[in-house]
Amino acid sequence: MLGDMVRERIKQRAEFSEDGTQLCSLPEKFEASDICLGAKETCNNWFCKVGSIRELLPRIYLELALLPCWRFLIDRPVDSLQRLVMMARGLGDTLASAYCRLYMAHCARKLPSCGSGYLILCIKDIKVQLMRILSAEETIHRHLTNNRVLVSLMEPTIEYIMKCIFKDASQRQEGNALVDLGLGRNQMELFGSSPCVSIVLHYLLKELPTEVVSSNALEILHLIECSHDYSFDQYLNYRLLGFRLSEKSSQDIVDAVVNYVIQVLSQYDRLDEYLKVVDAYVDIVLQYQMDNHLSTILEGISTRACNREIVEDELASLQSILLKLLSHFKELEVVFALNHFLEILDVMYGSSRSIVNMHILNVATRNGIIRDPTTIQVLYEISQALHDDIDFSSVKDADNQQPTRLISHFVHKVDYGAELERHLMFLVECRRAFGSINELKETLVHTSNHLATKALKDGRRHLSFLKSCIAFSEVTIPSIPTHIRQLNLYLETAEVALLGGLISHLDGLIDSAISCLWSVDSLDGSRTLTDVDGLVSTIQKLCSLLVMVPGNPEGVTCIPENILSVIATQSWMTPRMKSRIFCTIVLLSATLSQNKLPYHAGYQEILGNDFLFFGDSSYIQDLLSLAEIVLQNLVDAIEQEPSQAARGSMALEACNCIVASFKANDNILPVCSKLIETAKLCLAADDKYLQSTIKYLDKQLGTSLIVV
Amino acid sequence: MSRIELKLSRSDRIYRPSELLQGKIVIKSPSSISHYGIRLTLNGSVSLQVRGGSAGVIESLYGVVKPISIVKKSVENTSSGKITSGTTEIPFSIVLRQRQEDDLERFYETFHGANISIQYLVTADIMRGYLHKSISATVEFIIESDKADLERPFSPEMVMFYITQDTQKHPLLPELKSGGFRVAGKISTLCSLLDPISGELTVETSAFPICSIDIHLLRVESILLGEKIVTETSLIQSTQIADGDICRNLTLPIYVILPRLLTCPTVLAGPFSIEFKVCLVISFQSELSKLHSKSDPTTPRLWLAMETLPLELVRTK
Amino acid sequence: MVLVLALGDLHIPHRAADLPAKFKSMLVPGKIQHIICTGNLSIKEVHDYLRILCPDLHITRGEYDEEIRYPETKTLTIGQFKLGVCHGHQVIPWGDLDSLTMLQRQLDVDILVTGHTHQFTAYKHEGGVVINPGSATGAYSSITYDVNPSFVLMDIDGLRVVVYVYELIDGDVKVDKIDFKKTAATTHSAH
Repeated sequence: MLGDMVRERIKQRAEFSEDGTQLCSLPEKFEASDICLGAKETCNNWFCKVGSIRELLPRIYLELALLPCWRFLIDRPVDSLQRLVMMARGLGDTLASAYCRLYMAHCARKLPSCGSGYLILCIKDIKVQLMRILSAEETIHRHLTNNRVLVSLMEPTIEYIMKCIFKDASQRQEGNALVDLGLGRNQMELFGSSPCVSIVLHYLLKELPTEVVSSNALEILHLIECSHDYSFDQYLNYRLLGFRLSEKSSQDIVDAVVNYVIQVLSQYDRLDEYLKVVDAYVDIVLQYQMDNHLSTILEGISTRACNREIVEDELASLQSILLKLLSHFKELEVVFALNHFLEILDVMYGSSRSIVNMHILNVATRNGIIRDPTTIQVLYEISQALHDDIDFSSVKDADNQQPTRLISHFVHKVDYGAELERHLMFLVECRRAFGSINELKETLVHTSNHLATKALKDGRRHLSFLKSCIAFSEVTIPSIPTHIRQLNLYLETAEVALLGGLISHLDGLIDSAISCLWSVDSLDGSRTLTDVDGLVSTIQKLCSLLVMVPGNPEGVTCIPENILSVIATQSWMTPRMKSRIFCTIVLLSATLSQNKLPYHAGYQEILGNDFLFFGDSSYIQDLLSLAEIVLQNLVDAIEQEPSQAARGSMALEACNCIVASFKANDNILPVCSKLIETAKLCLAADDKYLQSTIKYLDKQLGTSLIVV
Repeated sequence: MSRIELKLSRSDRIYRPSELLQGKIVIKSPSSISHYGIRLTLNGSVSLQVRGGSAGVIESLYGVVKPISIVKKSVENTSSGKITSGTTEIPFSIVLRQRQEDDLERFYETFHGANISIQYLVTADIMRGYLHKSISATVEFIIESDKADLERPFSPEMVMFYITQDTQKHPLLPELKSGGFRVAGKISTLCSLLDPISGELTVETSAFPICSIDIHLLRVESILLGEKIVTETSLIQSTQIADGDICRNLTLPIYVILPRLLTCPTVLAGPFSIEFKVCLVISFQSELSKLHSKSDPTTPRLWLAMETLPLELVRTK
Repeated sequence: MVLVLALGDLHIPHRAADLPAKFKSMLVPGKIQHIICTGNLSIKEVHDYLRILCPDLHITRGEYDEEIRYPETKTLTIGQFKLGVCHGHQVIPWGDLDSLTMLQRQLDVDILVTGHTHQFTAYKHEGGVVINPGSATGAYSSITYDVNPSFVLMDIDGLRVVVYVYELIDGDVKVDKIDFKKTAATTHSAH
């Protein structure tokens, strides 16, 4: 701040004369010779003022603030920097001098390239100071905690200066070369020949260029081994080396390092440290396929982790390690087959456990069908564990969405192949185990229905199996919360029952479907339009299904009449919905009254109504009277529609439906012409639907009477 | 009212004896002024004064010693005439030192010390006869020696020093004496006024924790009073180079910028001399030191170790 | 020339694990300009897969679709043709040509694409073309469990549309081609 102000003032003096006229404009990279004497004088005065400060600390800080101003006097102010580094040694307070050096590194960045020599000197000085603290500690133990705090307070300064050293180096090409070549001579000088301070080593290792780390890995390893002081935990340096080597390394180096580290690890008793180091080397071990090391590591974790309480930190490391294993191996079976893997998984709990579990399920469901029974069993248990951890009372669904989804996926992907009974058993187990996942129940119904069709496809007679499947579905459906979903699932199950020829089940399922329709009303009032559309579509589908369903003893029109009563009693039914359903029933009646039905149940032993009631006049009569009642209701519903445009298209829809359903007769013609009139009143004359309907009517009824 | 002002050609007002003193006389007057000429007077002298202090009671009786004149000359810059109303600028130029004069040594640099003051003044007078008071203005200008031009190239000199419990002439705390310490280094003893005092210092050993290390710059003014030499030593600047118990065996730089107004080249003239000294003071952590926090830091104390070295300052180009 | 992929009734994962591998290898991103899907995908992942094949995706809702925001019917215009899409479980009786032409009149389209029956059909009649691409996975239907996987690729070029049917029969892909021409009269018959 002050530094900038002074700088600006001097710059102004260099650029402008006393009366304010501009003399020159200093380029970005000016030299000392560009500066006029007056400006230099001012600058000099500032440095004299700095020099007159008695106390060391403010004097250094002020000079650092003014550091960029050296450029007005000399072209290469590096010497001053060197001197300032040394002056900072005079600060007896370790922390004060460390932060002074931090500020120095910060200020020096404003100077044109100063090299990293002064920073290296800084680090060396910090190192000397640290060594002093560390050695003092050995004699006076009561300062231990104080000194630990001190070291941790100094940490940021070391980190920052180290960053500056290497940032500087990477910016310049020759700097890079220097780093590459000079490790032994230059960068490694930081380590010195004497034992290194581990905290300094840590940040050096953190910042060293990847190439340097990989080409000097053994030397670094040696340094880590030698530097065992309390300024920084040694195991964390081993860990860092692992991470750094993961970036880039070669087979022989990695072999040597990992061999050594594994040996070191074997001495570690604390699980936490063991895991932290292992975590750093897992990637390398996997990448270079050091299978023996992998099993050593897993063994090591297992012996340290089993039969004891695992704490939060350790869980996080375990999670990281297991996830690395999972993402490395493509085949889940391989991971499961690793010694101790499942044991280790078992010691985990809480959210880490869930995350690993989810990851496993993710891997499992990514690669198609899961057939291996052992794998299925393991995954089932994992799903159970995951399920047990889901908080179903949680308001946020998003938290639970992923695990429930993964479990559903898993259940989907399970395939016992020809062992259909086994598969059904699995579904039964799942229903019991994951009963609180609604999404899954639908899956279970779909899957059991699918199993039934598979059995049918096999061509073998599995009547009892079929019945089991249908029964399973039938029992499961009522626990699904949405009635429309229930309805659709009942219909699917009914279809499967039809395919399998299970008449008794079929009737029960259709009854259940109808009762679902009755219950739809009890749903909440926030039903969306799409839901309503879906409901109407489903009723339409039900009617099309009825084409295949043999009429029951109470009469063929029993079910349609039931549907009609639902419509009559449900207040939320709009005229538009009603008219669509009425059309549907008209079309159903027409279809059923044909001598040959368009399709029959896939199972030949179920006879269609065309066989059952062939030539039965009361059957035809029942259908006709049903159609006539509905027809009247249809016309009424259209009249009730408030929207003109909707009324028009409803009239046309009804017209099309009537003409397609009935033979042209005197009863039909007036209805049609009335509907066309309504449509004409409501719609534009050139409406395409109107035009095409009129054309269709003309053709079907063989008359032009209604075309005006 | 008419006003007169002297403006020198250089804003820093620094001139060398071999140069011309140039500038202009600026007169601002509401009406025109008749005069008998404008005269410029150059006056350089060394004033010597003995103020109590370390000189003692007897010396103080002598009071002011007669000043030593360096230069005194008067020239008529403008002959008699009239100055018109408004602002008038009259340039001037005076030779400071005649070539043939050989009293080169006499042009001491401007200096304002405690007892010795070397001052150069230039005065302009508009002479207006007896009836009117003459209008005059005086301005001080600064002389910097050009002696350096004539001498061989300057090379600074350094001296090695070491300070231990045994080099101290004053009593030390017993624990200091028994624990022992050794501080070694080097420091300038011949130094250009333009350069900082440089050197380095290393605390090699010290059983006792260090509180601070300071470099004190001392000025020694001596005046010959009859048969006696009266000397006054004053502390002109202190610079701390170590704050706290610093690491052993780490070399600290000594870097002391000389205060411009308080220093001049070392002068050893007959009637007076101006000399400088550096004093290195190591203070050790002691409860006692707090009782004497305001005293002169160069006074020997039980918890201080010190080393005083002469410092010759020279003018270089 | 515009390529339109029409498919539907995948029922993934309820009735089939995935599309047949042979179909998957044929369907590569960047070749198809539009996708028409009649519905019953049934999960979002299938939607995402189709989206990768071609971002211009038109889907109608089947009764087992997870995504309830798909519309019941949809119309779009490609070149000279107006196309209509509907899943078809709403049609009574299923797959009935008369009922489908009623829908076609209602939507006022030249080509109507529906599904649900899981049987490939293509009818040409005076009002235009009615196509059912079948089930792309060979999922069992309401009527039969014996279904061959099939889908349809329409090549629309001016007034001509060539329908290619890809059907997987006993592990081999069989391709059929049906050619339709639209007469100018069919579009403007209303006037």
